[in-house]
Amino acid sequence: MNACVGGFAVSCTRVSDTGVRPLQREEELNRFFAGVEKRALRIAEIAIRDRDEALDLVQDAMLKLASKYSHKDGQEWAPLFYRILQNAVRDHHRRGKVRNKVMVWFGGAKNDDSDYDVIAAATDPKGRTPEEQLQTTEAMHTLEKALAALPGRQREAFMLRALEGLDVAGTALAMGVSAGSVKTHYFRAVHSLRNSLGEHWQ
Amino acid sequence: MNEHKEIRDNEADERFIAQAKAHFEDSVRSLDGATQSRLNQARQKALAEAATGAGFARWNQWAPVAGVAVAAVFAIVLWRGSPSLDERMPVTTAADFELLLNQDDFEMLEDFEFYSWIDIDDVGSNVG
Repeated sequence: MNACVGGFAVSCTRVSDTGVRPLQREEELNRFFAGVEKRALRIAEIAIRDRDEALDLVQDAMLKLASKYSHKDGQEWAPLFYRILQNAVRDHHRRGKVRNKVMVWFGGAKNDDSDYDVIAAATDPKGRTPEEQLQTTEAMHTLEKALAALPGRQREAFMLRALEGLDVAGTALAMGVSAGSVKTHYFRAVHSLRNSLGEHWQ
Repeated sequence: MNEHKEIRDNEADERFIAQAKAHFEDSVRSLDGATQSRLNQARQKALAEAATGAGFARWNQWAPVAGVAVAAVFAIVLWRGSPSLDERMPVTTAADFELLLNQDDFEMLEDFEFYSWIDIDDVGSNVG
């Protein structure tokens, strides 16, 4: 269908096979990325404990979603985006394991967490003092450590369901598992975290 | 009794999840300017890719037209009939095989220069 109006080339757009004009779709994609990018970065950062690499993974996920799945319905973007991101995180962990094995072979294995400081990474634009930042980020720091100790699937389920706010179906699509499996992983994650953090964590 | 415990556990779970979410959102809001700038750049790059994809999608709008054109050409070919067997196959009759397998012809090939000379000589004599 042609939506061109007379000779006004500027307003001339065509409707794609999804029924949405490309310019409109681009604006929707822009809004989607702007709304999800910061949380996605933090989720990737919590999973791999490295902000720069997390940024690279988020950028790759954006590129992949935009180039391969932008024609999909906007409701599907969030689970698809997180599926791409979670796959990238898993690949990152696999590469890390191989790298560690090689380093062990040569006698110099490095612990990824050793030089990563969550508090230092979370600089505060509100101008709070380092002490105030320490107080406000300490709980998150503790939570991140507890999340890092969880099995991968439980961590994914908790971050996608509780932190990102995807529903069970969206989390299942993002993780590539059944809805029942999501519920099990999520339930176990919540109880493991509560046990490890204790009742006084807040 | 068990029901009460279950309700209390659920409420405690909900409080814990809400607390975790609040801390997470606070850490998201605390992202520094440089990081936000890099995220913005990543988004612009992804959208540029999407624009290329949209261009491809626009090009794809001609696909139905191209499909109809191909179908029309195919229909014309069918309507006019496919080439006959005689047109498609080279003539390979029994005589041809006999000619190919004839031992004399191989001997002729060995004296190819001689027969070639005779042939030229015949042409020359016809002209003369």
